[in-house]
Amino acid sequence: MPATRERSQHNFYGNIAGRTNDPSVRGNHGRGIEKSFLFFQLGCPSPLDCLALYLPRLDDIRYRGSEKNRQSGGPI
Amino acid sequence: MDVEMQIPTEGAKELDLFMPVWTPGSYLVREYSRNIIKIEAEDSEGRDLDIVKTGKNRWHLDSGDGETVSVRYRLFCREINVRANWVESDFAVINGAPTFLSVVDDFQRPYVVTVELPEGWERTCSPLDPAGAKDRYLAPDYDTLVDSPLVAGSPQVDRFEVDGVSHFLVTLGGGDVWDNPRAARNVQHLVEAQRDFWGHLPYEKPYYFFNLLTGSRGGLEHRQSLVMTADRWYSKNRGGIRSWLSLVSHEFFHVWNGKRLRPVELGPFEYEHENYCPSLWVVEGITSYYQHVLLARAGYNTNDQYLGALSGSIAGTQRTPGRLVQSLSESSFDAWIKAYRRDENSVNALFSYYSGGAVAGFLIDAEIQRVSSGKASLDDVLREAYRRFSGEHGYTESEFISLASEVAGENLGPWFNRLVRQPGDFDYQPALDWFGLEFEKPKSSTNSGFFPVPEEPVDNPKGWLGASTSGSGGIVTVTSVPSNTPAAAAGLCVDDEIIAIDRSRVDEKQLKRIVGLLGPGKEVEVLVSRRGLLRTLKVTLGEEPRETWRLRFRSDMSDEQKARVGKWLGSDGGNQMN
Repeated sequence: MPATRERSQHNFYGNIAGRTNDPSVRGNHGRGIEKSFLFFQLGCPSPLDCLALYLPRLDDIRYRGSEKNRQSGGPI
Repeated sequence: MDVEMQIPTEGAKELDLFMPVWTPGSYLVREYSRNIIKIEAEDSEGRDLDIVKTGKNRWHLDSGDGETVSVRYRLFCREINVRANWVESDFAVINGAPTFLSVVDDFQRPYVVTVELPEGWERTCSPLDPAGAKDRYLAPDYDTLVDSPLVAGSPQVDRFEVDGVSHFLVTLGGGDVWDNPRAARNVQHLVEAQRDFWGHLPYEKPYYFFNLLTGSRGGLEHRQSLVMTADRWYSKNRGGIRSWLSLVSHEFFHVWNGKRLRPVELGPFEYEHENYCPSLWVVEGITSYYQHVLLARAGYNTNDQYLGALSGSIAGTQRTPGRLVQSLSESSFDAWIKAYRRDENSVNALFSYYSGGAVAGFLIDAEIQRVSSGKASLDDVLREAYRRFSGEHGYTESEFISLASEVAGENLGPWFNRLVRQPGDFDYQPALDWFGLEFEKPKSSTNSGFFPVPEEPVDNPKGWLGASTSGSGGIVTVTSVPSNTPAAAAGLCVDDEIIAIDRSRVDEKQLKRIVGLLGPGKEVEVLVSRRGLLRTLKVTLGEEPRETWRLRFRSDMSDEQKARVGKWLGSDGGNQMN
């Protein structure tokens, strides 16, 4: 194994809901400072939600328009 | 896309949040926070918390006494490229920087990301560590979180192994056209070739190739993945596959050059401001050089095909007056305001650290070989640079140049200063002599056989304006006016509509034809419409430059030169194609 290989990633499963003071976690800057996990939840919307997200943007563009469209005064 | 973040307060009564304004690898402030439609916060008891915007990408909230606060926001996701987000009816492409807020001055912490998929979506793919549940991932720190794109939906996924490490080619948009298993076999061969170049794969975790077949062409490197956009029809012939592989080759080379071997300025990243770096000519230029060299060594390019790619970069360089006013080092530093913000004058003010850097890579490689009498090459510099600088610190531009001198066994500092730190023309001759190359002789630029004019000699050279134009519906519009051309000398401007030459009405085809026939040295009147007002410009036509900058092997190559080319590009194959 070449020396330049990265260290193996640790298995965090058992620690997932808690905190880590593992100094090898780069977020700890190697100092072993205990940091809590920050949790994200991403909700990809359903197709209907997606549509709802998209339409307001179109309206927005139509209403305000790009610089060019504002000059011409027409919808895109 | 809806995002909910649960932030541990760790006793803090107030929190300041930020969103990155750019993403590493793409050097432009993109103001990702403009895509946040609505943001709100509540404490652990479900009580609303005031969240106040304090800057274009910052928010402040009083977090109360709870151990956690929740922040929810909705993101507009309709930009399908390698650095933004896209969500539609059956798939999503999610990048880190345009998605994840964090806590100001306290963002380097572990993160857990869970994706809730709509019904019918099969899976997510991410280079992040799995976190014990489907579609749940762990990032050990913010840099890794931001550096880890995620694809959701039902992509085509093909897996292969190199050195016991799994690699996944994850393709969206292939339709019935794209042959993903075949593409994966070719990527595997390329990965092995690059592994051989560097001597090892620098990772043990799975690596992901995210292949978005949108029709456009682009790529962005990450430590454990790459994202590229391409054309699904590339799959249909050898030239297309070769073109697609050259993109893979470029982005995968960044596994080493860029993501692990990096300039000091590119890590740790400052996500809220520009990160200025003079060495993008190393990161991107030398990578652009090797993307084609390694395709040749892997057997995908014949030597002539390789020379074609290099010739294209040289021609681009020589036809860019910007090379005379901006050095590669300056181009790197100013990427934020010039290379990524091109305008109609970029051809005169900008020297691309990509194509110009690729040509510089070729010249550096040849020079190191030349001064070391073939004992060393740029290959050796990169491998030694990786050994020394791929740790926490990175390299300065001067350290990289010093290392090149050290490997070459001669002080190349002044030579490098002229090459990358001063604007001006490159000196190609030493490199051409080293490899036994020459530029093809200029082709004649005459009107012979083009449009016979009885009273003129048939070999009269063609006239030339030097401006670039576009034509539509018979209207000719100037799109670019390079400096040092007849068009620039006469004051022709971008967006001028060219109506007539010497009182003859022209469309785009006629313009080229008539200017050619009138010949160099002829003073003509060019009628233009500029912002709706007619004006006449007097232009003295020049002679079209004849150089093609097309490289070829000299017919009298010595055995030594042939041996050098063999070492440089490998055996002249070009038949590798799975």
